[in-house]
Amino acid sequence: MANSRNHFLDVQGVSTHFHRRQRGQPPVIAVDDVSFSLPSDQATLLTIVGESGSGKTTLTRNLLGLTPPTNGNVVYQGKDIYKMSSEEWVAYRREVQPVFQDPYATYNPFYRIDRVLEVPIRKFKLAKSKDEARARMEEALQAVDLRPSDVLGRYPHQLSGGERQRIMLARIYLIRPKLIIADEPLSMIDASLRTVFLNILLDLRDNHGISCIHITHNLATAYYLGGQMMIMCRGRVIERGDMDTIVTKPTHPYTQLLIESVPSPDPDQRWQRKKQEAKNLTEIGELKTDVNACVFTGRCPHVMPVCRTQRPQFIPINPAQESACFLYDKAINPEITNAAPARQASAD
Amino acid sequence: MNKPLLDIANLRVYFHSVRGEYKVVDGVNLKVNRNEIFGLAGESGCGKSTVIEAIMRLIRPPGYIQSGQIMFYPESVAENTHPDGKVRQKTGEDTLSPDQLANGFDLVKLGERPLQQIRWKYISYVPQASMNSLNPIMRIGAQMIDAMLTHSAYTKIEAQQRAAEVLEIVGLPPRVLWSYPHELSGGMKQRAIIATAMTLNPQLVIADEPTTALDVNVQRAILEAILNIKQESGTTVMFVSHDLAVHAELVDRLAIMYAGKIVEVDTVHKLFKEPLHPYSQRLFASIPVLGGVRTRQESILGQAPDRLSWPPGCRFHPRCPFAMDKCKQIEPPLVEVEPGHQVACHLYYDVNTRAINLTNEKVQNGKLS
Repeated sequence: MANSRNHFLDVQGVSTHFHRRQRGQPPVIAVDDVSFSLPSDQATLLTIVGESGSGKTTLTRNLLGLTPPTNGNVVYQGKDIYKMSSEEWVAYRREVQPVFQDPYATYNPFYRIDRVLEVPIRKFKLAKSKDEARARMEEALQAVDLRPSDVLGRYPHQLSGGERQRIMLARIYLIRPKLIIADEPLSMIDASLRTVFLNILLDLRDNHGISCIHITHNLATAYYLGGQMMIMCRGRVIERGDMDTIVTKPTHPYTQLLIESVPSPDPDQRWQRKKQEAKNLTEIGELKTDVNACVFTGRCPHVMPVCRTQRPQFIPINPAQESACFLYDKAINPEITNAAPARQASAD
Repeated sequence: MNKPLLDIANLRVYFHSVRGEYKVVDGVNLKVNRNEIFGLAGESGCGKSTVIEAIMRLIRPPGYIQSGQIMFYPESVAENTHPDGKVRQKTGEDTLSPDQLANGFDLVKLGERPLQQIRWKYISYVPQASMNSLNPIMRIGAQMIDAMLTHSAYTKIEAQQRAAEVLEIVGLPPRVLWSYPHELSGGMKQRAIIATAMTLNPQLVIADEPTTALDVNVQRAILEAILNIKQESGTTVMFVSHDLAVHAELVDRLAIMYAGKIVEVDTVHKLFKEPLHPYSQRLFASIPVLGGVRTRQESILGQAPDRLSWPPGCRFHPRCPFAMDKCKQIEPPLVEVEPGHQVACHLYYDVNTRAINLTNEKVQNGKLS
């Protein structure tokens, strides 16, 4: 494809289906026709937000080459990652680095922390001598606010969750990949350490030009990072665009619900006041995965007949925002004026 | 009765270890009033959950309650009666005396038998990660009824009716009674646990981080279930969370805990507007605001102190921007500086002269807006 030259990562219509054990049951559609791309000329931060079961983790695994998608391609610098030669594959594994969800499960408890950092140095030939390797390791640890003397020589069980996640970042700093794929990196870390972690991600982008795909269900931390955002619901991307625009003016009813449900740190702005209107939204309705319908029909307050029979396509709301919702389709819903915000920005 | 429902005085919970005594909770003073949602906040490791476990008397060796008292003043009469008017109290030799029930008692001094009488019926508990505490091979209803039959004189049929009632309060359909835990989502399991905690109409429900690791939509449904319970049955709720935004949505009064001690208590509205303790100020300044101005935040300087040997004097002094000499030597007491607002900080209270000074210039200037 011609345009994939300009994108260093191009995700083209990726779908992942999981078959069920019982015969005759339709497959579970974990990821449903997701497309996006990252530009090659600048480091970008893309945050993928969705509730549990929305397919975020499966999408991560598709991108990392761990679960081949049922349909669609993941194209990295013009090459499909599932059709790479082994050398290209090694290069891909070097340039795209994961941070996984559970820092307690990513380490081999029998090896010291040093090994996590030594192996990539050896494998990717990052240092010429042992002294240089040691120096690089210490530099990497300092870059993530860890004292090398505190960490080196220890075993994983001696470190806290925050320290372990930061060692994953130190490893990434060492390898200098082009892209970090972080799947819920903060879910197991203490609130007070979250900003430290997020600041490191920002530094890696701004000072080292490393792009990042950050997957989370926590909108507040996602907002702290800024950049681009995609909202996922039941395997589909339903809204995408610039983080600030989406957070201040969410257009898709699902995004509105999501943003509205983030607790606001202001006791004067509580939910009770808006309880009536929000009541049917918080009820956990069954969400259908009908290929020819909008995924949110079961809970949507604005549901129209067309939502149940057709699949909405992305409709540009403004230059920085697209929403897959028929409400913004002028042919179907002519009276819509663009986007009523669900909640005024509560910053003031 | 003007007494608070729960009055914790000078509670200390220590843990033995080969390296010495871990002073996880070290001198906590707290009052929980009737019919309020009381929030307890602090970073992880500050001892929030240990305070809760001490109230429930669930501290197991190597932990032990070193000293202190936890006075509980139940509203005595009504609670022993079932809605049909009959007294349903199991009585026995080692149960609580009517006098104790009328005038309050110290939870720390209770033996196992009276504790069993108290638990669930007077004080119930929603433990951390409680959705994993359901028995996977029992139906939800059976587990709820089990708890009720253990702690009350309900008959099985009454218990079943009551179980369906409370499920409705937390917004779950009655079919959940016949479900196994794996058939429910995380949020539904969590709500089933909250419903179980409500079955015997306890006077105090303690919820320890009930929404951690849940999606925002589910979190909201759970918080609304808790509010519902408070409004419909007048239960007092003690809510523990490290997430201050959740406290802002839910609680009436909030206590901030740091290094095994309470550093500040006030109504949530006042505390969010004017936190006094430097630690609270830092904590509130670091809440991410959705849609607000994006600024780079720095975390609170330095590491959380070591539980084996707390810093002398004020425990926050190594990380405090306003630390003075006396902060390093004298431990500030928790003092009521204005009505309802308690704070433990030398900036506002002179230990020698007992003078309260709320307009400390240093803090005004240093306040993070």
